[in-house]
Formats: sequence, structure tokens, C-alpha cells
Amino acid sequence: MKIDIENITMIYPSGKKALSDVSFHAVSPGFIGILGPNGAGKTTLMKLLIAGLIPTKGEILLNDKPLLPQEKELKAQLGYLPQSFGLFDELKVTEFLDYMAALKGISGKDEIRRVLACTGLEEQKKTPIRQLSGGQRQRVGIAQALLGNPQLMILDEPTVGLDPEERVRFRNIFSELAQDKIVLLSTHIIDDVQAVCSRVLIIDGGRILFDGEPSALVEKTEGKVGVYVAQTGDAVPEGCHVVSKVNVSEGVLCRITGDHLPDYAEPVRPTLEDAYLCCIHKGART
Amino acid sequence: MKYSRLCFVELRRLLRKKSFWICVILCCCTPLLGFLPLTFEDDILSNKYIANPVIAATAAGGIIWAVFSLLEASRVHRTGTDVLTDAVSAPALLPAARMTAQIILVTCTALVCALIWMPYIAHKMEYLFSLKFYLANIAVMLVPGWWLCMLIMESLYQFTRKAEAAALIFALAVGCCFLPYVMLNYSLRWICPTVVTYSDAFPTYWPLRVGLWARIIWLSLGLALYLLSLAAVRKYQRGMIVSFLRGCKQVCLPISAALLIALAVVMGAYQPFIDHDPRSYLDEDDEFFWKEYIDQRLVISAVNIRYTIAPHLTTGTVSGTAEYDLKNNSGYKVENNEFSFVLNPGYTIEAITLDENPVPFETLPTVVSEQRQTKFTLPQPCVGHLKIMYHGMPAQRRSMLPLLVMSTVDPDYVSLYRNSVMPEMLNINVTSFGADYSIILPEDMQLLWEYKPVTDKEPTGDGKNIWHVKADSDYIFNLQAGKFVTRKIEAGGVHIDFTYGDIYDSVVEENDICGAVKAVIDYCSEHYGPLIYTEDDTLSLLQTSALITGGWAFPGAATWMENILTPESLKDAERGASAKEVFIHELIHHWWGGYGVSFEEEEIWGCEGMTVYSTYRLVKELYGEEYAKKYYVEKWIDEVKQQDRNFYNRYPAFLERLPKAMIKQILEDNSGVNHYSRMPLMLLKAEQLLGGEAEMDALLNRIYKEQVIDHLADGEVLVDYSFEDFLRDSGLTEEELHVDENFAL
Repeated sequence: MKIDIENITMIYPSGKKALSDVSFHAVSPGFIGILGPNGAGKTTLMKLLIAGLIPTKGEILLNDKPLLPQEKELKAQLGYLPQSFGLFDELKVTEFLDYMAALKGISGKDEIRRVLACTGLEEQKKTPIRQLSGGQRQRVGIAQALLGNPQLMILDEPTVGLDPEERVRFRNIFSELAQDKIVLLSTHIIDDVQAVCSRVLIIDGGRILFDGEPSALVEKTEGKVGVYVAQTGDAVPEGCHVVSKVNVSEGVLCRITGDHLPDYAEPVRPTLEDAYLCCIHKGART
Repeated sequence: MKYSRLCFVELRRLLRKKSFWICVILCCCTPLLGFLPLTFEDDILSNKYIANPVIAATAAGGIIWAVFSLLEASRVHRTGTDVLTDAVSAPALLPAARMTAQIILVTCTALVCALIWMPYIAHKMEYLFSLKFYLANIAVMLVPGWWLCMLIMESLYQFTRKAEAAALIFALAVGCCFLPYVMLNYSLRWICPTVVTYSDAFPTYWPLRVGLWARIIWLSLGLALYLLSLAAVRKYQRGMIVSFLRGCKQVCLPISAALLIALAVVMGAYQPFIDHDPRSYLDEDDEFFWKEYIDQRLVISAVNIRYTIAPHLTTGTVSGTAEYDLKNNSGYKVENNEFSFVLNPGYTIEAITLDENPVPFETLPTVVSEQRQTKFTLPQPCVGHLKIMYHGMPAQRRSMLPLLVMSTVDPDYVSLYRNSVMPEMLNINVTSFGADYSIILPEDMQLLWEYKPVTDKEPTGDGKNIWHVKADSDYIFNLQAGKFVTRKIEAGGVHIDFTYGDIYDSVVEENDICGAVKAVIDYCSEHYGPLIYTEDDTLSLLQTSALITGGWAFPGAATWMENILTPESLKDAERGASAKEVFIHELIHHWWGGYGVSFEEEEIWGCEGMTVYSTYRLVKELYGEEYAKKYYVEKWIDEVKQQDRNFYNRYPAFLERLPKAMIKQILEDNSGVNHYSRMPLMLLKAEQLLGGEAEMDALLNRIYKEQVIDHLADGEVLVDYSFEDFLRDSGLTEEELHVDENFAL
């Protein structure tokens, strides 16, 4: 599968510009992490990719052909987990998955059994959805996205509400899925991206600030992250941003990013989170 | 495959919902509303136990399902489930599957509801219950009504995408069904067609046929609206108009909708059941087609007139042939060889021939009062054997619906009036020579000619009889056929043919109804004198279908309404002027005349008042003074009081300023009160002034023998006995007989 996004601009009828001249390409296999602050345009991008919106400008190609005429084909190959969604509370888990399978045109109880096993919902399969916890509901959402082994998976904050163990488990599942398909993962959890994504897109203000491997992003931030112990009332060094603050016996241990670190800051090896923040702040400046 | 599976999972989902089961329970209770006092009181059990509950359940259940449908349609958007479903399927697919599932479920609910109520209804209706008719009502009225409500509500939601707006518009649409104009125009009431009346004794499918037609029209419109609303299902987060325009690119949706709308329009415009005369019955003029020929000399006469009528019971149609031998004995030459006749507008003229040669003809489009004119041109000298062949479904007078259904052809019952039987010639003399009628009917049907049973029949050998009637005139008012039983009764010195639907045979036997008829006739004969008849000392007492409103009387025949023999009527002797008393009333018309004629609007005196007073006297003797006072005298006083207090009656100058139709209506109401209340009250006052009932009976006996009997003997329907005549015979004055609301016994 191949997806090409060419110079997409998306302006909502309200006049809000959500994306501005965005372009990127994805081919399977590929696991792309999409990072960005709230309101950056991630969800809009995903809606465009599932043909839930029509771009104001630009074109989306699916396997080198325009997406909209192939909407039916796209939906047949799509597994989508939105950021927030509702379920049919009156149904049991299995029945809901059967419902979604019917919508997707998938038949067979084996497939439902597979996704139940995959998402650890075997014990809850006969439980009415209204009785599920938030995490379990999220897992039902993931299970429906997995139905039919779709070639394109678009996951918007899939691990929200999951406990750490589950989060790691699903992270790995997504990673396995990405071996033969395109997986687009939008998340705020940098660790997830760092752990499994082969490529990261950073979006802010409707523009792509970075598109590349996570390690490349980290490398770009080499020498731009440092730590120092600050005292109460000290100002943040000019041109720098505080990534984290930890109270220690000598004061407050500050981790900062910036193109020019102050002399008293000790350079440290950047993490992906540092790199992301650095990229965002830099993007905001430009 | 995908769609059917989707319907199945949607069905299963709906079955899991508590709200669905609540709706099922509520809907199963809705027939109860049909038994509330709000619904119209009716002695016809098919109305009381089938029409009322079915109509109530249709309207109330329809609203319940509409609300359910709205909640379901809006729920996916309220809860955000659509985010998942729309991503993997076309957004219009799920609403369509949901609607299909809902239609299946409400259909099942309707069946369950019908089954739950059936034992009760069957128990109450006893021998009058017909499973076929009951289920036909469920199928024609209830089920499509529920479908329609869901289709409309969900369409409205899909257009507006706002539950409140959809609910408001739906409520307005429901409210429109109860506007007086819509109530009287049966096919406009989309939620449930107006039911004229049903018949217990003579199952008449006319209201159901009309209802089904209206249903198809409204379902077509509802489905069209729904298909268009599917096109308006929001896509790409755009508004209604953009989504709709995009949705219409799936051309099957707008094309299907357009075809359905076209079907509805065509069906509405060409309803076969009505005459399509656009005017109100108040504006109608029965003489319309005759005006052209009033001054024209009738040169051609018809002799050897023969009509052959064959009702087709399954299709509700009639085939007829009219044959005439045309002569010219007038001594004049035919100057205008174009002739005309009128026939029911539901019929199509198949051919007109003269001596087997086709004759050119043209059926004109104008329809007036159930009549349409056909003109044909005969070659000179316009004599020979004329044959007219026609076929079709008799159309009802639109303006009289939903009050009256005249002509109908049903599987077990036929009733044809006037031009539904045969053509009426406008400029050929047919009046003096009589006619031979041949009516072809199944062998289990009895023919009634002008409300009298016919005996002359001839089996055809294929399960049918040809009934022969030799009539003095070529004009017939009414022909009926059905499963009738006729019993012979001797009472008051006359032979009575007591005829009723065979369904009542055991009831008539068990309750000695024939004995009751004999007692009534004997009583009246004793008090007022023996009956005088123009037809061989024979009286036909005929039970008629409830579709023929009220009671009718003709020389030698009187009708009584079918509800007199229902299980409830027979068990209830405490009701007011009941169907039993209508029966008595119609019988008494044979003493005072005035049967089947309309009276002058301004006249207070007339045959009707004498009949009403006599009915009161008989009822008083049968049921006691209290009963007669409560249901007759007090009712008369009340109506006289209302009439006297009416603003327009007190100030006639204002009456003249009203629209013509309203003036006519008020005058007709006044006429009714004058004849049915004021005059009986005046006669009651006369009774008091004369000294009591014995003196009044003596006076009435004298009036009957000296003033009325001669008129009846001459075959006059309207007896010319005026108020002045009564003052003269009674010796009372107008002032003495004046009555007002202060009248007291």
C-alpha cells in the first residue's frame, strides 16, 4: 500500500486553518508516529486519511490514485481507532465486534476470536459493553480496528486509559502489525513512538516540522540539551525551554533545551522527548 | 450479503435495547386508547372493536416508533459511535440498515399486538368477528402507519441533524392530520386514513381498499423523503446542502425518490374510488347534465330496454350492458342526431353499437355528482338496436366522503346506486316503457331490488345465478346483493319480508326478533290504523349495511340499520334513542309518509315530526315513561333551547352576511331541529291541550285515515299535510302550540 499526501491544506467552514501545505508519503511496511501538541492538526490529518474530510487544497493519493474515488476500497482496508468514540453499550463485546465485522463486510467468528485474544478481551467477550471499564472500552476500540487485518491502520491515542503493562503490550502488537502494513500512530506518549516507530512526523500549527527517523530527530538535538541546578527565583536562560524540573537537595535540577545553552548548563544526551520539544519550540519561533 | 448481515446485526442490537422493549409494551397497550370515550361511539362492533383500537394504535404507536426512531438515529451522533461506523462504511449504509431492521421489528410488534388483542376482540364481537377482516385492518392501517412514522421522523432527523427540530416538524405533521379539512379528506390524513364506517353484517372492504390506496401514496412519499434524506446524510463534515448535493451524485437515490413521488402523484390524481368532482356537496347540482336538454323535444324513444349487470366481486368492478330498441314514433324528424347519457365516472364505455355497427362516442371529462356524460352520434334515422357496454369500478361522490359510501362491490356484498347500475339517457325517451334487468351473481348471494328481495332467478350452471327483474321504470335507485336471509312475518294485516344478513340468523332465532317486529307493527296498526301499501300488501323490512347511513323507507320497503342486532345492542335496553328505536322510527314512516325525502328547510311541520312523536309514544309504552322522557322529551327541549339561543337565529340580519355555504348549513341544522325536536314537542303540547294520550291517539287515527291514507294509496312519498291542516283538525291555535325552552311535561 502506498499513500501520498501532496500539499494538503485544510480550512474548516468556520475559517479555521487546520493544515497548511502538508506533504508526506508512506509505503508499507511502515510505522509512523505522529507527534504534536493539542490543536496541531493531527486529528484533521487522520480524518483526511480516512476520507472523513475533503481537503481544501492538495490531493491524497492511495496507490497513486486519488483517494476519494477509492473511498470504498480504502474503507475495506482501513482499521481506525479515533481519539474519542462511542460504543453500542447494549451489546456484548463479541456482538459489538460482530456488528463492526458486518459493517466491514468481514465474516467468520475466527477473526473475532483472534482480535479478542490479541486485545486480551477473551474473559470479557460476553460482558455487556456498558459494564466495561474505560481501559477495557479502549481495548474494544482497538479490537474493532484490528478486525479484518487491515492494510492501513490509523490509531489516534490508542493507549489512552491503558495501564502501563497493557500499553507496552499494545505497543508491541502495533509494532508487529507494522511489519506488513502502514500504521499511523498519533500519540502524546513519546516513549511509545520512540519504542516502536520507524518514522516520526511532528506537526504543529498545521505544518510538518519534522519528518524522519526518531534517531535523526534526536541527532538534530545533540548538544542542545543540558541540565543545571537552579535556585528559587532564577530565570530561565534566554532562548531556552525547560523540559523538566526535579527538586534535589541543592535546589531544582532543570533540564533545558536551546540552540545556545548557557555555560553553567551541563550538556547531556538528548532523548526523543527533548528532541520533540526542541523541535516544537523551534517551530513556534519560526 | 453485507447488507442483509448488517440488517441482522442491527436487528440483534435493537433487540438488546430496553427502550425497544418499552416501545413494544407501550405499542401493545395503544389499542386501549381506542376504547376511551374520546373515540366516536358506535354500535357497529367492527368500528368499536376494530376500527377504533386500530386507528388509535396506528396513531399512538406511530408516534412511539417515531420517537424511538429519532432516538436511535440521533444516538450514534450523540455517543460518537458514528466515528467508528462511518470510517469503515458509507455513512448512509447504517441508517438504511437500521431502518430496515426497525421496519422488520415493528411489523413483528404489530403482529404480536394483533395476537394479544385478538382474543378480547373476538370475545366482544362474538359471531361478528372476522379474522380475515381484523388482520386486513392490521395490515392496511396499523403496519404501514408505523412504518410511515419512522420513515418520516428519521428523514426529518437526517435532513436537519437536530433531534429537536425533527421532533417539532413531526409533531406539526401529526397535528395536521387532525385539522377538520384533513379529517374530511380521508386520503390527506397520512398517519391513518379516515375510516368511513365498517359493516358487521356485510363485510365491506371499500374503506380498506381506499385506505390501502392512500397508504401506498403516503408510503411512496415517505420512502421518497427517506431516500432523499439518505442523500443528505452528512459526509466530510459538511452541512445539509453540500452533503445532499454530493449524495445526489449517487443517482439511484434521487431517481428512485422522483419515481416514488411521481407514483404518489399519479395515484393521488387518479384514485379510482372517487368521482374527482372538486366541488363541495353544498355546491352540487344534480340537474347539471340535464340543463342542456331541458327544452329539447325527445324525438327518439327506447323500448325493449334490457340491462345486464355483472359485478366482479374479487376486483370490485362491474361489467354492464344496456340495450335499447330505438324508435321514432314522435312524428318529427331527428334534427340533432347526437345523443347523451350519464354514467358513473368510474366506468369506461367499452363500445356503443347500433345494429351491431360501432357508433362514435366521446366521454366528456366533466364529473358532477357521481355522473359523467358520454355523447354518441347515431346515423339517421337514429333507430335500431342500440347497445352500450361499460366496465369499471363504481366511484363514490368525493364530496360526500367520509360521511357516506354508496356504491361498493365486495367479495360478499354488492350495493350499487343509480348510475352505478346503468346509464341514464338524457335526450332519449326511456321513461314510460319499463326495463328488464338481468343481474349475474354467485349462487350464494341474494339480490335485493329497491330494498326488496327478488325471487326470480335462473342458475347458469357455473356456480352463478342470473336474477331477473322486470321494472316499471328504467330508473333504479338501489340494487344490493349479499348473503341475506328472508323471513316471512304476518303482522298488522300485511305480509312482511324480514330480511337480514345471514350472520344474524341464529340471533334472530334465539331472540325472537320476528316476534318483536310483529309486535311493533301490530301496535302501530292498532293505534293509528292499518298500514296502506301500494305493493300487494307486502312490506320489506331490510337490514342495510352501516355504509348506508341512517334508515330509509320506500313504498313497500323500510330499512333498518345493521347495528340493531349486534350482541351489545341486544343486551342493552337502557340506551337512549338507540338503533332499535331507529328501526321503530323507520317502520312508523309507513304510517306518516316522508320516507327517503328531504324536507323544505324552513318548514317546521312535516312527516318527520309526526313519525318522531309516534316513535316516542311507542317507546314510552315499551320502555316506560322515565325512559321516554329522558331520551326523547328532554333531548327535544335541549335542542329547541339551543336553536332558540343561537345568535344567527336571534338576529337573522347577521345570518345573511355569512358565506352561502354557512347559511345553508345553519338552515339545514335548523330544519333538522324543527323536524326532529320542535315539531314532536308541539305535538306533545297538543296532546296535553287535547286532554291526554287517548284524545291524541284518536286525533292521529283520524288524521291518518282522513288525510294521510289517500296520499299513501296514491303512492305519494311526501304526504301533503300542513301545519294549518293540523290546527284545523285539532282545533288548536298556533299560539297554543308554541314551544320554547320552558316547556314542561
